[in-house]
Amino acid sequence: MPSFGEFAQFTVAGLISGSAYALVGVALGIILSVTGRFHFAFMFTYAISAYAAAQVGESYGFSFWPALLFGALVGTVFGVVIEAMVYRPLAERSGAYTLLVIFVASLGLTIAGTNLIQLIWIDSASKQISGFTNAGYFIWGLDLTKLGLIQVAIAWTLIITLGVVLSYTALGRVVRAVRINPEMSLVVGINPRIVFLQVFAIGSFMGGVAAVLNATQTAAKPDMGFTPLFYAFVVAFLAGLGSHPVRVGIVGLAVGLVESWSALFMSTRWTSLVVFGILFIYVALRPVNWSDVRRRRRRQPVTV
Amino acid sequence: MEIQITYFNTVLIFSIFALSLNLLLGYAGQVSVAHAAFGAVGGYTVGYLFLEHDVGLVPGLVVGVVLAALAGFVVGLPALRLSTEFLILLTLAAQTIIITLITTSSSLGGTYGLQGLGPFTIFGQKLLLPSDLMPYLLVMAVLIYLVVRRFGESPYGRVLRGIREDEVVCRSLGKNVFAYKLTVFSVTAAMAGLAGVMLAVQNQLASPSLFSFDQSTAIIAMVILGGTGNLMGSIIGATVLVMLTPFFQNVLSFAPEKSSLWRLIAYGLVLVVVMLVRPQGLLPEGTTLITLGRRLIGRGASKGDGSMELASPGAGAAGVVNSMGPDGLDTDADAHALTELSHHGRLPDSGGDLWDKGEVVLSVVGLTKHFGGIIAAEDLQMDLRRGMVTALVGPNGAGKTTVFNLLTGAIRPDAGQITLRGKDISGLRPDQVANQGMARSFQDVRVFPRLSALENVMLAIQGQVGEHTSGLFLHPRATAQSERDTSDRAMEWLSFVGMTSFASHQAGGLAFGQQKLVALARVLATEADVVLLDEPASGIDQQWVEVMLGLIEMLRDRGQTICIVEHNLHVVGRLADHTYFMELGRITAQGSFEELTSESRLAEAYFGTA
Amino acid sequence: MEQHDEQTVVTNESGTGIVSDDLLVVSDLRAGYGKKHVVFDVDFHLRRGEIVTIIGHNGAGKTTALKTIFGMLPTLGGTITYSGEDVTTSNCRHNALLGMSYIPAERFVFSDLSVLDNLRLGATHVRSAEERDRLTERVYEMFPLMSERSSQLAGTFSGGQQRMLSLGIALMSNPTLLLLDEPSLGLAPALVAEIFDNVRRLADEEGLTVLLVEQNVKQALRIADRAYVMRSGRIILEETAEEMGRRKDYWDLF
Repeated sequence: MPSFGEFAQFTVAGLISGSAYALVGVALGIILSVTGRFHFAFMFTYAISAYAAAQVGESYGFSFWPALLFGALVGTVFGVVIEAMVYRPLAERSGAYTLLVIFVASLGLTIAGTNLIQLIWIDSASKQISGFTNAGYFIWGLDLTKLGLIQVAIAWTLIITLGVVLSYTALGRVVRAVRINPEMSLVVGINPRIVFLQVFAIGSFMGGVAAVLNATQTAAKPDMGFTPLFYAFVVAFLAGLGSHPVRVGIVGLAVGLVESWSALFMSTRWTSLVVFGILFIYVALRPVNWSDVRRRRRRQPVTV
Repeated sequence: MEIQITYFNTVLIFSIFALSLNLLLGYAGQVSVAHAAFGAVGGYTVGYLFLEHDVGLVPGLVVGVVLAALAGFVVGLPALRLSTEFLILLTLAAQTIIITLITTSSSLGGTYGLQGLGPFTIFGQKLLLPSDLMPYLLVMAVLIYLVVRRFGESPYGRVLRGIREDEVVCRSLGKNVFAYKLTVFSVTAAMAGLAGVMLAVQNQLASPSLFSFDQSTAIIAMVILGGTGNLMGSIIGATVLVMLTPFFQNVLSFAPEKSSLWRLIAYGLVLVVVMLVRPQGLLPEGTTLITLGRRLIGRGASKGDGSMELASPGAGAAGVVNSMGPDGLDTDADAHALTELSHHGRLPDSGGDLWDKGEVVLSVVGLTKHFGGIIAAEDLQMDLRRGMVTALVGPNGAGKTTVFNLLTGAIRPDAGQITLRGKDISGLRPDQVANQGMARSFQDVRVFPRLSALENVMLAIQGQVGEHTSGLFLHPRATAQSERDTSDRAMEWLSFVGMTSFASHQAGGLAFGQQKLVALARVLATEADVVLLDEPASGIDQQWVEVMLGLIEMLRDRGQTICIVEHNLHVVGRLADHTYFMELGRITAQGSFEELTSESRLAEAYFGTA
Repeated sequence: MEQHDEQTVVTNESGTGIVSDDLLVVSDLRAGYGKKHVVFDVDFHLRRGEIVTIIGHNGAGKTTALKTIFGMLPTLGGTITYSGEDVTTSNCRHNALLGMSYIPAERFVFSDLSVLDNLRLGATHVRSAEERDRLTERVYEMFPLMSERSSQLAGTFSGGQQRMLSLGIALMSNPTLLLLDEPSLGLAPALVAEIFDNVRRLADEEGLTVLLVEQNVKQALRIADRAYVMRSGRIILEETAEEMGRRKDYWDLF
């Protein structure tokens, strides 16, 4: 039976990791819910952001925050390019098979991209993000790190900002319109192509930020995006596609907590299984009402 | 020489992976990213049994394959009701769970895996060199190829392809889709397990990286490159992608480390490029070396890429009707087909008065369905009588399509009873309802696009020996005979609708009116006692409507029991022997079309009030 | 192909030619979904300020024709001329800018957005915030309920109220031509009359031209000037609303 101190510590750890899961869940969630693209290559834009940040710090002496921004922007560019040059052309010509075709292409991009990263940075097994000096604090009997607090702060700042943008700005209104009723958005004159690009930019940016923070904590590795992609799917689907970012974020926190608390009872090697298991059970047992989202997506006009 | 043989062995092993995945993904349309993980089950089983319990290759292989099949079953079970997106997630979870379990189990060697497997002995012979292993691998690969081909290029495979194209329609033709899916998941997982066993034997190692997600992707790339639904293509795909390693290393002289990375990059690029340039892969479905050769030489019709557009009904369809004499028959082959198909006697002119005297084939009592607060159907009572066309009409939202869905079991009613030829079929699944003798067509037609017109109709023929594994593998001659009979009967139905000259055309490439005729032939080929036609006259021009009406009248005169939902009242007036008027889920009137249209209240319901 | 009394001359490609008071001219229109052709060789025209209704059975191609005019579906044959300009190949964004507005038969509001957000989206192409506010005020005047409940989510309103909102959304783009698809669909009979009254009122007050697709013949004829009947993708009849209203019943038209 864990002590209260242990429990509190693991809870803190869960909140920190949960915030990271929240961020990627929101990022992938907005892409999935608005565009319907099975964007596996999120794993790639995630990783390339971390590598770009690490490299620019190493080669050009960027300090931490500019490197973080740079890395996230690189990921953003890749995300937008993938939508514009791969997904959209495929969607325009694949009709009923669009989902599958885009998934296969996305898978291909991921494999090619991830291994390209490994090839380019072949001389280093992993890369460090420089310029960040961590610090430890001991508050209320809990061990906290500066990095952990920053991760939580940034994640939630971004998540809440997105929520505000979606609810109170013109851009947010348009994005939600496309998500809720693609036909009507065409009717009122919205250009869904542009909205798709904007959404990919937002999602890739947020993912990139999460990646750099992740790499700061450990290191950048070519396949570092696999587990976050997975967790992002879990969080996004558990929360429900199209949910408010804060709600998705809370589900992310919940996943982080469940994972962390299970470490109290089992070896950490097994805790990721808990999350994978959650996804397996969720997918297996959910009622077949994915048709709502499918219906929404099927109504999506191919192009205009 | 041994090095070359090693590559050859690897090609054989991955051919097994690719062929089995093609059966699951290419033929049955189930997108799985867990294929390598099933291989892991096989490979780790044989390795663990060897290291811990000194178990030999043959028993270890058997256990490994069985466990892999079991794993396939466990994954396949939840997969049954999933759409593609969720299936991908499920198999992704399965792949990750299996590999994570393996990596975190100390007894399975962690990240390094089980090392030092072998040398194995098989039938007394020690397998030390690649050349020792090769004959066995060759035999296995050939065996798997034959089995996969038997599954895929057969009546069974036709059902799989139907499932791939449109599960719902498949069910409506009487196929137990769940059973097929579960079987294919289990069988292909077992084959992957076999490949996994041999991969471990070849490498004398079972490690997580051998069966990783990357590896699953590589196998997908092999299938996609070679062409989904094409077995030769899978072998070619496996060969090309396996040989990339020596290509990069020897031809391009990359360092080994870089070679393996370039190989993976190539896999990824293959997937992207194939999707962008030629999604169906190198070889179209069903192409074999023979047909490929024929096409290259220039003989043989191009069945695969057929996109024949015909704006007006072909001579066939219209010809059948136009050449009809007053008694509905003429002398050419189509008429012969008609008499062949006659099972029932012809009834005298059945008008509205004679409706009450007809034999009740389908009886519905108290049928009710609510969706939350919305009444889709309320206490419906209707009869369909033999040799009559019964029509369901009503304004928008009256619930007519819901009735078809309730009758065929696509939706479970809240209350009520449906009796077909005296047997209670309430609550049966759609495939069971079809087997009992009621079949439906769909308002949006829904032919199986990548199957030929003939294959579309063949899928509807009931009682085919080759559609079940037992018949397929244990009774080859009966299967072949059944297939010939099925083909003949299907051709007769195609002939009835006048589409014989399009039998080998891809249904998706036909004009919409032609697709409607094929779909009609398909539903008729079930030889169901009751045929439900959903908007038979919609989406087609006048000439085609005439053809459809003529065919339906012919069917009715032959004694077929038909129910139609139609919005085109002109069509209803012409065809219907009896009409039910529905409003907001209730039947509020019935009778002959003339009776109904003379009631002012119904006119109000239909056309509104000022 | 049917011949109408020729009051119009279809303009040629460069836009010159004799133009009468026709706002919309559709000629030999062929439309459908990919392989499925649903509309065959359809001709009709609308004069400015007219309310014209297209009636016919479900699946006759009425909605398809409407969507094709608006540019949501590609034209498979024929021409569409709007205010003298050839819009056969225009997409909906362009047509919206030209002054067309389309209200679908189903899912005609953004259900998870507030009334105000819905209206603002209707004004997507409106440049200035002042203009947008003015248009919003105008809609509020016409539909006071919208003003009272402007922050309520559209999906929580009743069917009839959502229909009103859909009219409001269309008005936000300051349209000249309103393409209305089955406004009576799913509405209780009592509300149907109210909706049609609103449409008539809008047409009169704002000088809108309206092309109305309907199954509810009686209500449509109440407010329409002329009517076309479609069956199985073709126009089988054109009459004035008065003439058609005098018919005993419409069974043989459907």
